[in-house]
Amino acid sequence: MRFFSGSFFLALCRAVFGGAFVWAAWAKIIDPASFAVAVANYDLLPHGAVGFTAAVLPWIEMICGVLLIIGIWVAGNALVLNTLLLVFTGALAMSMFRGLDIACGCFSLDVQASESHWYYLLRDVAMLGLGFWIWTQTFRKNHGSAEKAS
Amino acid sequence: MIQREEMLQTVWRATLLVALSVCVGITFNTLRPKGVSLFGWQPENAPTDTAGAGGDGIPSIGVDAAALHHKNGTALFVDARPEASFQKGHIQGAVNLPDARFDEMFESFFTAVEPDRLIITYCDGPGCPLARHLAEKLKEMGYNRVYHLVDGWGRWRDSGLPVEP
Repeated sequence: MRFFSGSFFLALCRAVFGGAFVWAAWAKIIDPASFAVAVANYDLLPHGAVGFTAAVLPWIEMICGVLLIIGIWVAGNALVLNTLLLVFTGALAMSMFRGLDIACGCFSLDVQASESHWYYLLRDVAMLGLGFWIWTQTFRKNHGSAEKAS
Repeated sequence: MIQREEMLQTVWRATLLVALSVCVGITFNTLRPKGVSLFGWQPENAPTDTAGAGGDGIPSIGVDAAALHHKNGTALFVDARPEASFQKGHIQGAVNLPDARFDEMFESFFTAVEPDRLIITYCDGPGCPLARHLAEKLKEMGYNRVYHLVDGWGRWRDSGLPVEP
């Protein structure tokens, strides 16, 4: 039990969670044009906002992911990434609900819709669980150390 | 329990992080040679392949962008291959305008297709010139929004995109 509350395990979880975002961001930063198409496919944003999103979103993932792994402003970074993940999951669920046959555009930018959306959705929910756990653990840790200090 | 002060600090830091990322993203996109148009993105000017664009003034369009147009029904796909190849299989909804029979078939094409329609021509094979020839001819005839899909049929089919029959 101590292992799961230890800082090593938390650091490992941060590395997995943050690393997933860094990995996902990399492909999008390299090829923003394809990512723009993936974003547009969701049909949720007006075309005028697609370019901006495609240019900026990967950098939020990249910067917050790297800082989370290193351990700087963990709670803040975890909050940003969890919010993003929540938006992604919502977008994915909506596209499923609307019956859109589109590619996830999450880790790879291949436009061809391949794996089932349920898989992506489950993955997102699992990631959300991990991200939320990291977030609460960080608070608990901070709070605990504050209590010890006082 | 999470303290209010701590929560506020987290939200503040999260806002700062997003602002920083937005600045980095915009700067990087502006400085890089192949940045996307920040507020003027359109599917038709998004991913175009440089391969085969040459200096002939006919831009090529990427499979991704073409697929998006196909999905949204915003483009007319024109198959430049001979009729026999077209019959064997073509992009769903495409019309056949064989490059070789352009002169005899153009009339009916012109009456059916408005000049401002977005047109994507294609043939088969990376070195196939038919789609580009056809695109050039269509442009000469007054169609201004013409693109050609390099290695169109092969790449389209291999990507698992909609085909018929």
